[in-house]
Amino acid sequence: MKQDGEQRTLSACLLCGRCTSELFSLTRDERHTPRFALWNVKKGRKSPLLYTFLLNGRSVCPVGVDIDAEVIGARRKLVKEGLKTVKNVAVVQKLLEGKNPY
Amino acid sequence: MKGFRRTVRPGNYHTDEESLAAYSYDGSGLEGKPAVILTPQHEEELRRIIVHANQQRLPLIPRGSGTGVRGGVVRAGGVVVNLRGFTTLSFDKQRGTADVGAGVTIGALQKAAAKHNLSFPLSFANQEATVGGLAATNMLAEESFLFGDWQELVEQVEAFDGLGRLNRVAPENIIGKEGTTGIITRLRLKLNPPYEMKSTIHEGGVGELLQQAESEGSCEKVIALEYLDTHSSELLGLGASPHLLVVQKEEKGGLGDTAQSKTLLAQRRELPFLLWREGFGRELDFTVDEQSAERFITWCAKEGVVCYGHLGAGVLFATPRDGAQRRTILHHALALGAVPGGKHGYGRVLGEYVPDALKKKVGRLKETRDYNHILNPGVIM
Repeated sequence: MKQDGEQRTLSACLLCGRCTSELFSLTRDERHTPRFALWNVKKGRKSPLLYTFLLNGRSVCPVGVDIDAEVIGARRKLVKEGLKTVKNVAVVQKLLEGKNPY
Repeated sequence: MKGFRRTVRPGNYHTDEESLAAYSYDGSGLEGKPAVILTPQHEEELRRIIVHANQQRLPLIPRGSGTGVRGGVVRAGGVVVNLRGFTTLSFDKQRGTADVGAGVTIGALQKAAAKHNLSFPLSFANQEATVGGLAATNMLAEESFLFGDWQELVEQVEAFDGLGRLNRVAPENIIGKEGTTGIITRLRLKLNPPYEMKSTIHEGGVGELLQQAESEGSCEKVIALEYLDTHSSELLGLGASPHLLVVQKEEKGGLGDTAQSKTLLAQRRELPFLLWREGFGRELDFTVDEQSAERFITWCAKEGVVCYGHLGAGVLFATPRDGAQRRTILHHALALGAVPGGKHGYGRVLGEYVPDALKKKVGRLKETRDYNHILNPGVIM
């Protein structure tokens, strides 16, 4: 079978749902799927759930979309646009205080 | 909608924006924001949901993993019933059956069955699809040629009707009815012990391969007869001409090539994803007979439409490059005798192609099981 290993852009994602994650396996909640993360990125939605995505490289897209890279890119954009979540603010505050951020 | 709050445990009732967004789509590309997401964990919670929905005449949309490609679980303003909490799974090794909760994924079922030296006869590319969802759409597979569809592989079904009554239902009254005649909670599935396989790949012109398929098809041992057009064959590394993949059962100790056959079938299942990688859209499925198969394949080849499929089970796929080609395919298919639908259900995408006989049957069943039409309204009917 042909395997070019090349990554595809987000537009190649057809929301097939094969890109599962450990978090989804535990919760069985669509909010914790890589598919929802990609759907948010596609839509340009400022979803705080983009920050719960694990980024552990275990979510593999059968079409070749680099899921982790897409989510990181979306997070960068959210930070630039000033989206703050309760957890993020707490992490930054702890860092400023020189404490363990978690 | 607030009345549903009392039907499930607090953590299983969601109306927040993120939840509604997450359940507003499936694999079809359709979107529709639901009103509430409910995740019952047992039958009593599901019964309470249905009773309340029936009293208030609210539309219930049963949902598994949302991997369907026909929009069967997408409805704006609907009450999504997420059945992923129904995960009971037990085996009867003596009888070769499994009692499976509707929310168990096909991947989890096959993994657990393997520990008992058994397997469900049909294989699917998406391991995340739930058994309940696959049965509700009567999803076919390569192996359906020998083992049949879900109606033949399901021994018993337990399902709630639209009035909140939990019953054993005849498989033909619920399998392939896409959640319109009942919400499946549990299925008893027939499993197989492992068997040896042998595969053959034939190369040739369309007419030649169809003749080959006809003669191979009469052999009782044939599991799968898969047609691959030139483009599909090239993608699978077989060469630039149409091919026919024949997989058959082989006696133990015979000249089988089980591992290779499994690999070939697995590669065949990856074909839609390889086409998506190339920028093609979602495949369309068509039910065909011998005559219409030849007409449809020939037309696709002439028009440059990628065509492949379960020739043995009478289902062909045409993969459009874009929306315009999709419309062209659907426009010509009926005239060629290829009927849209057959593998993935009809959902809200192919609603206009639901056969009258299926509509009538569902209509009759709804008269006694769901006369307020709360179960997945807008699908089939």
